[in-house]
Amino acid sequence: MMNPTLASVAQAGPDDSRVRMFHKLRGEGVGIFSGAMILLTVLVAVMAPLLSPYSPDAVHLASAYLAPSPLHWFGTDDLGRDVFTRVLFATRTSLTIGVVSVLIGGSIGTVLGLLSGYYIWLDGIVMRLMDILLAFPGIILALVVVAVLGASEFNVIIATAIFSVPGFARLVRSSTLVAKQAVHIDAARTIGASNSRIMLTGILPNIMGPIIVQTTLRVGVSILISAGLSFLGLGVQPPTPDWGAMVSEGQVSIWTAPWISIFPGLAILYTVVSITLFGDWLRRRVDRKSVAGVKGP
Amino acid sequence: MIAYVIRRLLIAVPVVIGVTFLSFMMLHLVPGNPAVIMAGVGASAQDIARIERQLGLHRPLLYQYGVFLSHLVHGNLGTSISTGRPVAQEIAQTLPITVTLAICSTVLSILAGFSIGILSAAKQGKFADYSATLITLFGLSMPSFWLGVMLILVFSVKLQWLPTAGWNGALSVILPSVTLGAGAVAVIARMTRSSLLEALSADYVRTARAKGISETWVFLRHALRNALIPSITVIGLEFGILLGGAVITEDVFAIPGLGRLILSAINARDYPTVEGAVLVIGLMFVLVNLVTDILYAVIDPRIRYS
Repeated sequence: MMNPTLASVAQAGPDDSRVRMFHKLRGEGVGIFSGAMILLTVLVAVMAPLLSPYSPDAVHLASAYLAPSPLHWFGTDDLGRDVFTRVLFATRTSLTIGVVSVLIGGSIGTVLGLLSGYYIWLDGIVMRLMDILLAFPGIILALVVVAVLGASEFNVIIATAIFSVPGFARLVRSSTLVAKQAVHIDAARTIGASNSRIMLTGILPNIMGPIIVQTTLRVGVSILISAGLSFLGLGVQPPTPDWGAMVSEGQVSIWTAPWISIFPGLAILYTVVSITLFGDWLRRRVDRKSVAGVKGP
Repeated sequence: MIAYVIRRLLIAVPVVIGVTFLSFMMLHLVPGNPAVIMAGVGASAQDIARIERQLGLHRPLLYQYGVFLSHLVHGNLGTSISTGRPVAQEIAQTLPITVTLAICSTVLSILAGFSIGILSAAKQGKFADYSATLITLFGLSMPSFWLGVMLILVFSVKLQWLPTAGWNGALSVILPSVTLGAGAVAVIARMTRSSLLEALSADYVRTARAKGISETWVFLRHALRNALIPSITVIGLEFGILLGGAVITEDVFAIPGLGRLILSAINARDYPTVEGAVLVIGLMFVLVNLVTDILYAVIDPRIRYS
């Protein structure tokens, strides 16, 4: 994707140093802003019990379906549980699933991509396997895994991890194909460095940029997929608070108590927007660096 | 051209075989005896034995796969455990609904995606561009099921313009199409914007401007034409993704499509139905991507030689 900042700078007229400064500040601002949004989400996840006087699972049938008020900021659900508290606690579930599944799937995909980019004979086999995984639209692949293994938090992590593998494998493979042409790889081979050493110290550090960008963006996608599974009743099982499951529970009473669905969805939106913004910003930075690297000596 | 098509077809063959094998293996990867699970709680030994025989589970694995393939060629996808009807018949009933929904969503996302993308490239760095960026950001980050529920809240509950659920009449298609297509709108808009900006900075556009052609004409005739080509790939890919995403949309709006069939089959542990439906979705996805790639090569001859 073309870099909008660079393009507009290129078109800027005589006054361009000030324009560049403005664009640079705005560019960094997005990173700081979205980083702060993510930090807030993490803090909420860690400090959830301190932020609310209620328990996420305490049932009070007498106070069911209460509208948002100073006492219950996001209202209460069909069992009288405080929606605000449940939204806070569900942050833990979502972040854990999102991060852990991407770390697992990303590691497997990175190893596969590195191997198939490095060894030509492996390339065909590994990439056809990835094609087969990619032949199923993401949510279907995750559904199949959960259908086979059963619905639980652990299996959702596995399902989402498998779903992340092909993307990483493809990305790392194509980066490896480029990186292994570099002069320092030839040099390493000449002095007799082993293949694994070349891959781990010669290639991997040089392709970390795109991998980190992909990891960030994938966390957002994985949170959406796992929330989707929970919405379908095939993800995290009740009574564990989960955003997707809460939206689904709230849909039943959408006529009378829409707040049960509204707030968990806003929480997903907030989290994924911050991750996407941050990931896009990272990508622009990495792209700029690699462009500079090509031009440099 | 023919060489390219043949090469592309050959690449698709192992993928198709893999898709059939993966769908077939699903049942066998279920921990424990699938016949016991499918028979349900309190099933008699005869029930279990009957299901085992029906599925041919006592045969060697490769033999079973062979039978599966030969049945598949004859359009036989097995029998549903929960309804007792042929799985192919169940799919034939639900698939048209899902495809209709996916087509409506695709048309909608092409119209909206192109408009937003073109507008934001034409007004680059202006207010319209930033608004468009914001819209696509939300489109990419919004869970579709929540968007669906919110649309129901606004248009069905509050305004009472459109039905909350079901699949009868044109009005009931609107909300599901928007729900399903929102993500694709964002993807197509982003793609259109970036390829348009790339085209606008290309040499041939500079030449066209140097010739003194009006800016509007340069934009429409030179930049837009070339910029729309990459978007075709994205549209093909998105159509496949929409077929899968329909699972969630159909659940939100209680639409009796293929997605709902898969869901209820999963909940009923009706593995033959899940297997068949997943297989059909996988094969359609492969087919759509194949057609997209070939179409792309027809429109842009440069692709064939790279």
